[in-house]
Amino acid sequence: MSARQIVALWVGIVTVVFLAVGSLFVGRSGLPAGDVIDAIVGGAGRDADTVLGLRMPRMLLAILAGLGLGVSGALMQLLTRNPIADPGLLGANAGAAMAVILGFVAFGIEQTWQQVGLAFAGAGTTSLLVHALAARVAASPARLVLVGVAVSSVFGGISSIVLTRDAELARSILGWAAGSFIIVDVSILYTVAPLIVLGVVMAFSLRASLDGMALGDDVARSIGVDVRRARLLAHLFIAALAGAATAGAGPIAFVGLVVPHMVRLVLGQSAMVLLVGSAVFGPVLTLLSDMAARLLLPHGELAVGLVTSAIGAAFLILLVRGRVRLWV
Amino acid sequence: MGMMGWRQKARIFPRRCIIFTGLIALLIVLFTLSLCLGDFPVTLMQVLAALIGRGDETVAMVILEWRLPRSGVAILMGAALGMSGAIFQSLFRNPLGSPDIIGFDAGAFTGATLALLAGYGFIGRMAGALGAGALTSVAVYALAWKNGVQGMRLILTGIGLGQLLAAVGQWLLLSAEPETAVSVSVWAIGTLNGVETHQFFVTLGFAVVLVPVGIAQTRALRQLELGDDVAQASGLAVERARRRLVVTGGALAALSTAVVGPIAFVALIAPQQARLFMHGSGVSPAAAGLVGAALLSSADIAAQHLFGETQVPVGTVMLCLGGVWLLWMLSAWKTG
Repeated sequence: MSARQIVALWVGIVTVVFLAVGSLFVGRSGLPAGDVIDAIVGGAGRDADTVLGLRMPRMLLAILAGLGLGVSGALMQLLTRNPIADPGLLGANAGAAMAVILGFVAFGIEQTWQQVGLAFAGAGTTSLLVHALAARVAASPARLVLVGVAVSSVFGGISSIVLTRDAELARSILGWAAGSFIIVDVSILYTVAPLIVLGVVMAFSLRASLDGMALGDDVARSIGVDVRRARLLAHLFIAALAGAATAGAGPIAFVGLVVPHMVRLVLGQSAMVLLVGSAVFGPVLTLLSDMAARLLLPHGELAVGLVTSAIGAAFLILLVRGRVRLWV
Repeated sequence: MGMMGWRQKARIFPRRCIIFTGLIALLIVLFTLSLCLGDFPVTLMQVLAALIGRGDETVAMVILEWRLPRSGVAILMGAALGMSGAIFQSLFRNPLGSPDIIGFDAGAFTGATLALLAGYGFIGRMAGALGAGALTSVAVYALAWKNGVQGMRLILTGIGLGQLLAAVGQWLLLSAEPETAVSVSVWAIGTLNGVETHQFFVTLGFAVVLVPVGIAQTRALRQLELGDDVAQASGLAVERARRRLVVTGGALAALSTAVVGPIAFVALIAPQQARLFMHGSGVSPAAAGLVGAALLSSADIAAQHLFGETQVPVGTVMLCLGGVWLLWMLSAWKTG
């Protein structure tokens, strides 16, 4: 990596730390900064519940989701050589949601790890399905997105059918369906964290293969890349990252689209740079969006899924209008 | 037509007649079937008796007051959506230029939710849906405009804005009462559950006006498909014709959204399917209307009877069907 890339990445890391600490000071209850510091240092007292019990887990989930979505987006874009690949647009969210909802209804699952497991399976199956279908159908980036739209429709329809038959469940998942880092049950953090950390670490093991595959499957094979194996593993990691992020935070759209794209534009397009960059700037985007969600309204909060959707929609429109360069 | 030899004409005309007859027969079968099926089983003879005003009173009530409005609205709405899709797909010269893809549905969902949270009733919800739906379509079109509107740019802009509006809608639902939130989200998918007699008559009234108006513009649509210059040369006032078509297509889409909610995919599928049946190059509003009516009727029969005791919103069935159809269509476009 060049000196410029390393500097940029360090700036990103410092920003994450700064935003993470900063997010502890921001919130609806309007605690004075001194009290927040007391709560962090002392770990006790009246405000410790707010800071350590609510804001800290929320901040951690934002970082984990940013990691998961950013890196899975980078993997998807590398794998499909497609600039508008995003786990949300390509159906992984819808697949994860459907698997969890079916799990609730069919098996009455309650444990957090079961939910996360199902989300993982759902995201993985969908990711594989969309790519298998796209290989037969999609000649252009936009067509790949349409395949994602089609598959999301089917899974979304099935989820809705199940939910209309179970109003109780429909009510209970409203908050999750809007996309949010607010944590109801802290055990979700312990379940999601290992999956995402493992997924990110494992993703780096594919960087050489992905670089080869960026030149085309034939070139990759000629330099000794096992393309089938690399592709399967990449889908496995995408499933772990996107599935865990969706299980934890609900459908957060567009992070996986915007982050890798910006990293590519600013820092370059080798797999290593793209993966590290997305791992660093994914959390930057989610932390910023979550802070904006807390601060933008005079009363109440926005859903963070709404903030990332607004950013992503603006980005996608600039992209298709040619203001942001498409890489292909 | 003028350029077409008599031989081709002779080949195409019977085909067209056969297909129209077939579609109408199919509609009659679906309509009768939807009147017969249900918890209270009714025979074909009883249906016919009730329709001409005879037979048992209880049976007549079940058929005329419970089932007929719903079956009728399904047919009318399907036809309206199909025709609206045919008009917009022709205008955009793109099979994906239908109201659901260009953001009308997503906008309608947000508008309805806003109206509901502001405390307005049924009428307010409709007005909100129509206003926001129209506004969104205009916004998508404007944002995709850059020396003209190119198909894929329009679609991706629509998808982007649609995602954003879906997120806004979901967030708005959070601040609603749980009961209201669930009922709004059912409406947002589109449902024919609980359609009443007066809704059927209102729909029928609008359809009687709008459907002939739509069919009457088939010729202008054909001319516009050849390109603005050719259309102008053949004596069409291009801009005025286009405005008239936009208003008709918009009114047809708005009518159905107002009555049953934004049902996805009918406006996309019906014109394309009609075109496949007809072996023609253009999309005919009349044929698209018939296919749309058959499509929505069968989807609603499935929504009522396929899922055990609960009736699901017909929009969910259309989402599943439509997704599969889109995949099939994407692979067909590649080869064809």
